[in-house]
Amino acid sequence: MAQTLNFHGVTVLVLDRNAYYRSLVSQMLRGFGVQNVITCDSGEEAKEALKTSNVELCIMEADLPDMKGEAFLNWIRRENKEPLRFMPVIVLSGYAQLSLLKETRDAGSNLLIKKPLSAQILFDRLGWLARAPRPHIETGKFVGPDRRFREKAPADAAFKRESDRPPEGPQGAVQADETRNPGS
Amino acid sequence: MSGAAKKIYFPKTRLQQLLLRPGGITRDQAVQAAVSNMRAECGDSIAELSNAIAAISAVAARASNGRLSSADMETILEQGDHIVSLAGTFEYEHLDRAARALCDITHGLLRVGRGDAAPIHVHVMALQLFSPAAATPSESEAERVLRELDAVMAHYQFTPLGNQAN
Repeated sequence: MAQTLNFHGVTVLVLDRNAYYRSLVSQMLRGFGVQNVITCDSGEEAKEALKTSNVELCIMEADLPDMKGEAFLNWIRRENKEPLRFMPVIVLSGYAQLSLLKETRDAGSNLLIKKPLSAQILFDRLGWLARAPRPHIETGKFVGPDRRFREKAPADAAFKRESDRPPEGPQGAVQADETRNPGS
Repeated sequence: MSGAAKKIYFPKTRLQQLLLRPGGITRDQAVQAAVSNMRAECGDSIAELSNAIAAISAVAARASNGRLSSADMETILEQGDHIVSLAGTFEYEHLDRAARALCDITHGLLRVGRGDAAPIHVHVMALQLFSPAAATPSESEAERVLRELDAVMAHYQFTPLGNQAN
């Protein structure tokens, strides 16, 4: 049976300087069944929206008109509490913004997608986020989803080894402390 | 050897919880609906692309003594990037290649601190030729124009942006 994703009740924030592109991504999401799409054209506007709305996913361009995408990601990952701190963020990169991809990855984005964005790619990546969650790492130098993963379609079982499986805990989140050098 | 404390969380995000609920939509259904919605925007894409090309053309026309300011070049790069994104989305292949070439040359000129307007003008003419609002050129004519853009790039010996990212 084909796998499904249920977008009912999901709120997505789309952050892009270009109104037409925001509209395009919004139409794509509405086709998936997303009813609540918040659109913003600047980092500051998006910050305000995130402070006042429950947003489950952010889709943003790599470079913003009023701040670097990296700075916006740092704000989400370092200056907020959960659930916003753990909110999945997909960064879209234009052709002239490809050099920013490493910066946004290192600032804590979950996924990077080169424009042009297609509905197939977006749906697959969202399925990936849902079915193959990655641990959230916090060190002095890095805060965000574990960057060590292979860029291929997720397996049906997200974890290869039994020891990779996250233990169950209160509110579904478990924290482990390590004191070795950050290497993620 | 001691290092900074490292914390590892396994958060179950609300997105994950919502998406994996029973019901929902299959990939084929979702893509079909999304493409249908985007087709509704397709007509506007021609106007959007035409506006972006006109914006680049207007900036290029501001050249003084064959030179453009770095601020003008930045504007051209931003609009060129937007054209690449839309041309790729709506599958205007020749326009996509010409806009990538414009981004490559503009980025290269910015990087070396040059404001040469001549190569920008050549690329603007190519964009106008490949605009979805204009008559479609023949395949041979299109390839000839794109080869000329390649020659401009070869003259400057800049590395294409797509290669730099890898």
